[in-house]
Amino acid sequence: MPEIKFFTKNKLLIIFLAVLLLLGLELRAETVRAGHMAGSGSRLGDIGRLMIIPANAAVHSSPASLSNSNCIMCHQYDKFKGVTRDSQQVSLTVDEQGFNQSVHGQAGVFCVGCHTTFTTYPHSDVEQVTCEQCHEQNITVVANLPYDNPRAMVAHFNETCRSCHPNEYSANSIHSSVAANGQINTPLCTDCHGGHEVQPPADPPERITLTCSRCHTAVYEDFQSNQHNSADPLTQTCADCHIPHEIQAAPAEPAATPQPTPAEESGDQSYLNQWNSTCTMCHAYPNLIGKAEDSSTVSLTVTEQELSESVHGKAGLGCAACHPSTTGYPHHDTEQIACSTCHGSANPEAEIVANLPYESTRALSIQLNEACRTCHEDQYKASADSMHTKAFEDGNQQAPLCVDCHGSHSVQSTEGSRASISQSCAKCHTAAYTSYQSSVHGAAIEKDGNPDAPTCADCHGVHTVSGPSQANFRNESVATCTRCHQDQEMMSKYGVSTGLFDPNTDNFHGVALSLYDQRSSDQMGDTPVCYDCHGVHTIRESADPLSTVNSANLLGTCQKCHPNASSRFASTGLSHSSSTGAALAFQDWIERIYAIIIFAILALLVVYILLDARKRWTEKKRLTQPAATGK
Amino acid sequence: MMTSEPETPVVQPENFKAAHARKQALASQLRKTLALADRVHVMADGSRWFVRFRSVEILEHWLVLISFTILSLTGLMQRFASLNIFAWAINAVFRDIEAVSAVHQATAICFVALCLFHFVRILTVWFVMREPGAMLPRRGDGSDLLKMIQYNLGSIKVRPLFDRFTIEEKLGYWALLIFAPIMVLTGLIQWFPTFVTRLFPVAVIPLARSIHSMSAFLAIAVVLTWHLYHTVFKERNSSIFTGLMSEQAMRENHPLEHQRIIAAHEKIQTMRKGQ
Repeated sequence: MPEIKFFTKNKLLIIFLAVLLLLGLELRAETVRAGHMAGSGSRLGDIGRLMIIPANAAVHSSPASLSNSNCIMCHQYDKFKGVTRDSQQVSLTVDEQGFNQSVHGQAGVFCVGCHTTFTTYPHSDVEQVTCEQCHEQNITVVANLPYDNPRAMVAHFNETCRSCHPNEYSANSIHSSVAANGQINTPLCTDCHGGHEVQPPADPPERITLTCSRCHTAVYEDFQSNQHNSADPLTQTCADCHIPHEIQAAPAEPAATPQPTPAEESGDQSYLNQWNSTCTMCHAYPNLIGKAEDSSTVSLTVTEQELSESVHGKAGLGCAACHPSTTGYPHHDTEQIACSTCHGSANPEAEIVANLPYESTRALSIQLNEACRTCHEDQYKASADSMHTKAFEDGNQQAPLCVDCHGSHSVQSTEGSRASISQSCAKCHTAAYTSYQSSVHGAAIEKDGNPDAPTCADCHGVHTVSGPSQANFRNESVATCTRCHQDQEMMSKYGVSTGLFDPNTDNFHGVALSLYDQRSSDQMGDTPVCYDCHGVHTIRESADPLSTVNSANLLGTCQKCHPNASSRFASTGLSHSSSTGAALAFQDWIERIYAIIIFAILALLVVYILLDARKRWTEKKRLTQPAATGK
Repeated sequence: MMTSEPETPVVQPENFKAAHARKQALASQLRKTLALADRVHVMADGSRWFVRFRSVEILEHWLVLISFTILSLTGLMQRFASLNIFAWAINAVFRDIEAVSAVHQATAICFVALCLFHFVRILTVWFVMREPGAMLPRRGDGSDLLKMIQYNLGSIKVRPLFDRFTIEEKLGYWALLIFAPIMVLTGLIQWFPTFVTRLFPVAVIPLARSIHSMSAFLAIAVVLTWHLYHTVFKERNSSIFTGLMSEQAMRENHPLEHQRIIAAHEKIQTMRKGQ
């Protein structure tokens, strides 16, 4: 039946080929989309060429009269202008060579590929230009254009970009949304990519930044002055943070935001040096302030200089070393700040406040404090028994954390600046520090930077910091003092006797003190230790009239424990074994005589016992012998 | 042995007072004789044991033994606190040297109380009861010691005879008697240094300290050598704990007292037989 033979062999073949063609087109479109997303300029060019020729074959293969040479005939004329309805002139000259070298020219796209409505001459609704205008008069040729203004013309052609690059257009980008609001000067495709001379966008990479800089002049200057751009290869171009075509007010999740790459093999901590320039892009802002839930504020400003001059900076550590969880922007737990908040303000130092999702700024510090532990576990452990940690565990949030003493971004080594140790303690312990400054120890270190003189940490410990309310501090305090005060070499420099205190010598306080060394309990001894008489932070030379052990003040010092003490009680050094003078000589003589008497008595008694024992032994022998012989 | 006392049928009035006194003396002597005779116990097997110490003396010895030991140990601990063994003991047992000191002082108070009690008791024994052969020094003590040394050296063959206390026991006792006040005095000086320095120069405190410790050293040495030698090593003399001494030991060490007790005992025996 003729009806049944409707699908002949040839017809089936044509339909099959047509279906194949459609499928192929779709697949290629997919490929190109993926390639374009990858963002490599040179690759884009290759793929673009592949795509455009077959997909828009109809556009540039026919009619032959619409080939590029036809257009160039007129549009190569260098005095060819168009005038829009608002009387603005637009150059209509096209550089043929430039076009041929462009991505489109290389790909074989014809003029009508983009200017789809200009397939005939004279162009529809455009006034015709006569031959003579160009060829004979060599005058400026002005064609009336059917556009309100030059931007409207650009916007018109901009639409044609989308016919081939549908996925590169994002209505959500800040450029698109501003354009939608009627701002005619916002960038269109051609404003960034160029018109006829369109080039691969990221080849070379600087092209991106230069493109942006045409409008964002101030940002570009900032970028050039190393505020943004530095040696960090991850943030070399604008597009590294501001994803092309999807540009948000602020980078949503910048492509270039580094992720920490925690070491798979332990010991590899190379990731620790990451992020500095990315972070300081925002954090270098001089007035960036974090505000916690309780309205307490903290400066979030960190300059790269500050960091690079710190111990961490010198060791090559970056932001990621201490802030490993702060990946990406907006930070996982903080409110997003729009770029324009900083960049849009007229006042370059306007206060910018970011709400922090913490109860207080202190809570933030407490959480960040844990980061110190990553590298400084020993110190962290040592501080676990300290007064500071105890105070913290007892609920005092103000008890010092690592950063309170060491500083955070500007952390410095204490080497070469011993005075700074005590000064950091002074931030809280003001009264103690004032006393210390006037003491013989404090004065030596403050004035001369004497390396022998103790800082706060030399007596109280560094991370294990303890004080007199703790038994172990009191019990070990004598050892603390004698560490230096029995060092003959050190003491000889200052003419201080090392024999002044020997816990094993014959004095009242010393005997009890000597036991402290061997006591490991947390029991608080009530026997006087060095500082009970000499003062704690106010220790002075005994010759100093302000010293508690100066002869003028000694009685009062004794009376602290011995309320009935007389001036005679305090007159000689009962506390130290080294009493001198006639009293000592007299005492010595009596002791010697007494000792001689005692040993003489003992010797006589022993001699008597030995004689008695010998006699008894011989008697016994004499008595038993006759019995033995008699038997 | 009864003295040949003539019968006095008629009592002359002028002699009444003297006769009464004589009777009183006789009764007193008889009481003493009875008391002496009571100090011998005859066992079932015929052996004789002598009561050497009364309960109060045994108690006193126990108290001195305990307090002296405590004072010695706590004293040594304080004096040689830095020695490992004492430091360990102080920290483990007393927790603090202050506690050692407190125990020392409390024991010292007991010791002083005991000394005072003994002092009162011994005065009555010496001067009221007038017990024969007491600890009171007497003229023959010096020659006794000399003779004892001569005997031990072998220059004389016979040992001097001792009464209730041997010369060695007397020496030990008097050493303690002299030692105790020195210890108490120097101890108090250290206990109340602020009071003492109101009256005396401050040097007395370290002086008292060294005398206290040296005297203590002597006392401990005397107890460990002299006292233990004469009571434990020389012969097992447990009379200060049991109160009793065997006849052989009695005869050997206290022949005069032994003789006196036996005499009293026999006198009472014959008196009882005569009845």
